[in-house]
Amino acid sequence: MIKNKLFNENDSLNSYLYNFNLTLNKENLDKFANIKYVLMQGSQFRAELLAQKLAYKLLGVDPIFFKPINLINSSKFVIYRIKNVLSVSHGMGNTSLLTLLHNLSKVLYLAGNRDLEYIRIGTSGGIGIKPGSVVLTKEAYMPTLIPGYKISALGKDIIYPTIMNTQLNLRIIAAQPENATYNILIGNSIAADDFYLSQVRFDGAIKPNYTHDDKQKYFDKLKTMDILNIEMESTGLAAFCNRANIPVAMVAAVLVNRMKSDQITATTDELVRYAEHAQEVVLNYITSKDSGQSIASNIPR
Amino acid sequence: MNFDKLNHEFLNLPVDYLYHLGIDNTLHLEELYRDVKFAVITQTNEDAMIISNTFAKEFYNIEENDFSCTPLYKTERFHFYKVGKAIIISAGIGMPSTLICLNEITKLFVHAKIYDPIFIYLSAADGLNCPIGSLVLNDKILNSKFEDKFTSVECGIEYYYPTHLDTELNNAIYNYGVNYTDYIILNGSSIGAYDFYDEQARLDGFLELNYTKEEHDAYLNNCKDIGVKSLNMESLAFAGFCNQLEIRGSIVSAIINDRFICDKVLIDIVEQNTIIRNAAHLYARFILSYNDQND
Repeated sequence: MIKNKLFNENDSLNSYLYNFNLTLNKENLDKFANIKYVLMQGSQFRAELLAQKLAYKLLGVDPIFFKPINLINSSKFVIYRIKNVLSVSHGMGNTSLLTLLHNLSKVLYLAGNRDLEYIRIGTSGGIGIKPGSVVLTKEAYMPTLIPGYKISALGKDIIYPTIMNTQLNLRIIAAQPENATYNILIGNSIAADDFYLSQVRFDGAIKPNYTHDDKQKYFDKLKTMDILNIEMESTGLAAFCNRANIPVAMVAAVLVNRMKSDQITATTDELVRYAEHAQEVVLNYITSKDSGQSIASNIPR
Repeated sequence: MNFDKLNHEFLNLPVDYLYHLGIDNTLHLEELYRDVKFAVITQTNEDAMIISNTFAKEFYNIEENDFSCTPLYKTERFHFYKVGKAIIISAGIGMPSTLICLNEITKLFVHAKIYDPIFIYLSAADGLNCPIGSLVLNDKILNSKFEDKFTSVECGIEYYYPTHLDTELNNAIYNYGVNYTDYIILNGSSIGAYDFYDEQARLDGFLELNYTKEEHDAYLNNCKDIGVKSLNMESLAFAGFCNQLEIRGSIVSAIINDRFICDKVLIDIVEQNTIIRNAAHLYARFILSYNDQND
């Protein structure tokens, strides 16, 4: 891990971490010791659902009897722990995700963790991809179709690389069963800074500057660049982890085929099922031999 | 709101799903919301609740403190409340999340036939050279390069939108606050940044910095010299969105720290909540007085 040299234990211990509403004392930091995997999702509900699945798989606890506790005191994010895995929510968009990543990485570092893997489990719009498919990101692009993530530090633009960890992607793929009922693909992703205009939708509040024909041309271009899906956090995620030297992957379920529709009209049950495909792919990895994780020997049923 | 700039395609959909709010236009939105004039947008769920409770106390003369409003619809993404003539919603951290909220709130208003709304962004913010607890009405919104424009990438192309807010509305709130409340009310510019750390020139993030402490100090001084009094992560997109649709907008930054003293927030949650409550109280009173004068 590579960190800010001005950030150190002496200054940070017992200080107040605003975005988590958490005092960094020993008692709180101990809750974050011995972590290996950080699994992140936009929604707090999905983070809770994943925590329940992890409790079942890793501890043999029936989800009916398990409600995870948020380790921080702010509703900005939830952070649940099951063994050496954190199930975390990051909100929507790069700005929210980066706020989570900075704060969580500080806490994990102060708690003594140096060997971590960060995986985002997302939902996305597919480019000619069937809803229910799962995409692992190779490289993340800005909506201008430039790879990388632009940060303006003191008003000066810097573009950071956004290639995900190839080895981690391969380990995740290797952990999948041969008989999966949905497609698992590896390709590039776009992180947009909005759900509507930035993702070339026609169902936002503002009249677009583009036509349906422009959208078709843009999407055709994406296909030639092996861009399989659009979501809102892959660039910030990859740029952060590359700067911090933390292995990172992004696994996203496709909720809608944007070649066919802008609106997410699948029924709620279907959407939940689609989103769960991405969780399943990551759970397969977390519980595989490759991950060095022991699974519960007493799983009920 | 300028109807020519509104997207008419969503009005022609058989059903319009406001996915992140968790509702669609088959609910009787006009019946439910026709008395609404104001949308108050904030960052966090806690603050949305504080604002809603403060509005409820003021609008309905509730003396007890021991009650709480209930958020409506899907609470997975945003917490949405309706209190009297206002809806209150938490839009999450940052411009991308806030833009999703603004789009869906605007669509909700159009479905409810509310064509002349007032949008208010009310949230905690970093302060520059103004006392903790002051309420800064932001009359000018800049990006982190000090340009008064919001950049939006649409179909791969960058577009720039102005970020000026309604001066008349701003002045009315300022005058109301100065004349009828004891809060410290200031006017000043705001910077809307895309990140809490690098883009807001902090030294206390996790990542290795590409600037020195001296450069950090110089940047904050430059901000102050051009009249910037607050930094947050939403104001630029809020102002850009309001300009695109010609919606009357107002931003109040509730100052919770002084960046010339420390990059970290030093006051505890109780004090933070009090400052948000004060800002909510100012707007609650203003909204009541606005109704008296204009409706």
